[in-house]
Amino acid sequence: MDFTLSLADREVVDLVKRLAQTELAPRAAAVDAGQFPLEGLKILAQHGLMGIKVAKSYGGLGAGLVAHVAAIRELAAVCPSTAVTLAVTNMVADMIEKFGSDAQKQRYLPPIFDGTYPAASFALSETGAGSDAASLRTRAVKVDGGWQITGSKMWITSGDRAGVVLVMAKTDPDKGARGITAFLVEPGTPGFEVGRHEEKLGLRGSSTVSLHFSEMFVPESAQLGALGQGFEVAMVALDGGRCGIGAQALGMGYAVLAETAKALNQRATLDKQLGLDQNAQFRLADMATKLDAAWLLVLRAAWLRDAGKKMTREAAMAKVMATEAGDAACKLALQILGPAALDARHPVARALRDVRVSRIYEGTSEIQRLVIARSLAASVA
Amino acid sequence: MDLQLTETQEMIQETARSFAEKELLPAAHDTDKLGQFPRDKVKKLCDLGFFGMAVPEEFGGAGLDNLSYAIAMEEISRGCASTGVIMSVNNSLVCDPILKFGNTAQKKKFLGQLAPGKVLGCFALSEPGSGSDAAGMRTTAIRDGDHYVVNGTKNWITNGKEADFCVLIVHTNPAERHKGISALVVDRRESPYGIGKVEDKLGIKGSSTTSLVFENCRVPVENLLGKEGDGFKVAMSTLDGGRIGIASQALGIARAAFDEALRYSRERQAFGKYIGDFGAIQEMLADMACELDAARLLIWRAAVAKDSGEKFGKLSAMAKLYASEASARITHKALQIHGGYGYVKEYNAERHMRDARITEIYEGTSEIQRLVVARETLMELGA
Repeated sequence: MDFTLSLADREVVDLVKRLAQTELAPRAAAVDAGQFPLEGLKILAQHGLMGIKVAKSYGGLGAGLVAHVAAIRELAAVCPSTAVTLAVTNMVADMIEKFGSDAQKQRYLPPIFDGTYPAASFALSETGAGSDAASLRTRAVKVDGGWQITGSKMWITSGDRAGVVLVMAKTDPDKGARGITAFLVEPGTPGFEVGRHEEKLGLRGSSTVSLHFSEMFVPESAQLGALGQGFEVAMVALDGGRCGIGAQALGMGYAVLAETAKALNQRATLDKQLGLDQNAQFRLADMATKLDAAWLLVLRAAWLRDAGKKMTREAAMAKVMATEAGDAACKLALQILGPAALDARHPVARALRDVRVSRIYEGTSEIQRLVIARSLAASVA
Repeated sequence: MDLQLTETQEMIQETARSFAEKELLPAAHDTDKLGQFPRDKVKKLCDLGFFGMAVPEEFGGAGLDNLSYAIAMEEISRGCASTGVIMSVNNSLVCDPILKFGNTAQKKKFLGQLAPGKVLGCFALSEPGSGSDAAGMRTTAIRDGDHYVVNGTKNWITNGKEADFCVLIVHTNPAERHKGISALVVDRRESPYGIGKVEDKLGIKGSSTTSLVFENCRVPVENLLGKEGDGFKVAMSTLDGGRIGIASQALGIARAAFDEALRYSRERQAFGKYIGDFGAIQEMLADMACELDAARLLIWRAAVAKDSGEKFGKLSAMAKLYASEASARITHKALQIHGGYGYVKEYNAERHMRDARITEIYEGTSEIQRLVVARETLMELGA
């Protein structure tokens, strides 16, 4: 048993740490103020970080999910908006590598990896279907030479910036989850329209929009994977994605842990009396312990995926525990630091805003618990 | 990153699990009810090599790693929490310090008896007036020729009644606080001491918890572990390791409670469906499962660090803090899921809750674990 990262994984993490400090940190405040992190993303792409798990032969880094989550954690510690944009782009690249045809890989992977595309998007959620992906209403109707897609997608990360959007649509409404198919859609396609830009609590530098498709024609070659395989594509993507979101929340959690530790040490120096802040120290211990516990769950799920094992339950555990630990750490840090951290630009205040959505997107905490509970019930029957 | 157990570790897990299911689970209820030391179970576990797991074979142990020990502790404690703590004390608090701080003659003499379980050991640090504040102890060992003369009372000693050996922490130089503390191995057969009050406890009722009374008890000087003044280091280092054992015990108890609650949730019906299909129960079960796995990973990480010779004090403190508090939450929820049945002694849920409670207290309270974690975190990150 070995809890340390491999040398190759460590190299990825060191690269990300360096880029985060030199490239992202100076821009993080502007990004938080709402600026899309275009330059940062391009630099990260040029270092191979939009295809961390994609094979080197396609231009990726050829690493595994363990390296991916470790990289996301480092990015999120510095600029969560950049981290989430990169994570979603990676997810789409992974699905193209895993389910795509050679032609699709050749068409989409190079521009994702060289930074020509600022990002890629994953369009699953709708107004009436978030966690319950099987009840999608976006339809793809077979027409001569391709498909006509009609419907609306909500809360799409980078939906207005993406060079390619992975869209989930119903191809057979009678078949429930098995009637869903995945398509790769380009934004210039007639009938593709970007709707409302969400004004968000956090992750303000990442872009979140609705997408509307009205009788949008896509050729047969746009279909990703087999007919009816869309739900499987979505679930595979989300199992990996959930580990990434967990890592992202923990990146913020560990960042505020460090802020808190520094502040407490300064206070101790001022007071010349350690122990005066025992309550704060105890909260610090709770933060550190729960962050580590959750980080180990994230690493376990990622390791299982890399070992080719099923990890749906473990990914759900990782996500719910990591996002709740990250969120709790931010709240505790704010309480310990007091008024100073109430400034909206303070790193802890920013983390508190940025971390909150991680308990919601890519499957709410409630959905993760349901996934876990169903898997437990199945183990008894 | 590799979380795969080795073949040996898997074999230990399987052996411990099957022993727990065949021998311990069926007897645990009566062990608790009668408050009876599980002598025949302990004997069988000694024969399996489980009482000196990490002691090299040359000294009579099983020659396994600390991860194997943690894995076995979880399984055995799942079967019976009392048996778990009896085993944990012998391994972590008695064999471990002798192995780490003893000289070759001491290892041969003491471990040769303790590791194969020919005799049982106990560890005596706490006193009526000192627990977490170990340096505040009052028991003294004053040199008299080639003996120490020990006077004082030790409290809360697990295995106190049955043990023939005691790793005893005492002041050899009461004028100094930490630096005047030493560790002795006392063989009760040649240096008799008294067994005081046998405690009537909330849980782990099959293990004995006693006070030990030393009145001019003469202990040979050659039984000193390390040098005079090493005792505080011996005690703290021993507890660092012991916390891995207690964390595993807490995890095992929690798993026992969880297993029964999960099964019950698929049997019991209300309003026309299994209670396990109601959101409220699903949420409890999901949280319990998450915490079990998180606790296990923290424990394994600490055990692996100990096996690699790395610093592991913070890691074992985190493991114990998290596992013991998770165990309290999990056993609490398991009782809740059982409803009224959980509250009566015919079922196991109330025993699990009682057994789990001590893991937040002994071998360092949760408050002490938080101090350790906070201190280390401030040193690592606060600069």
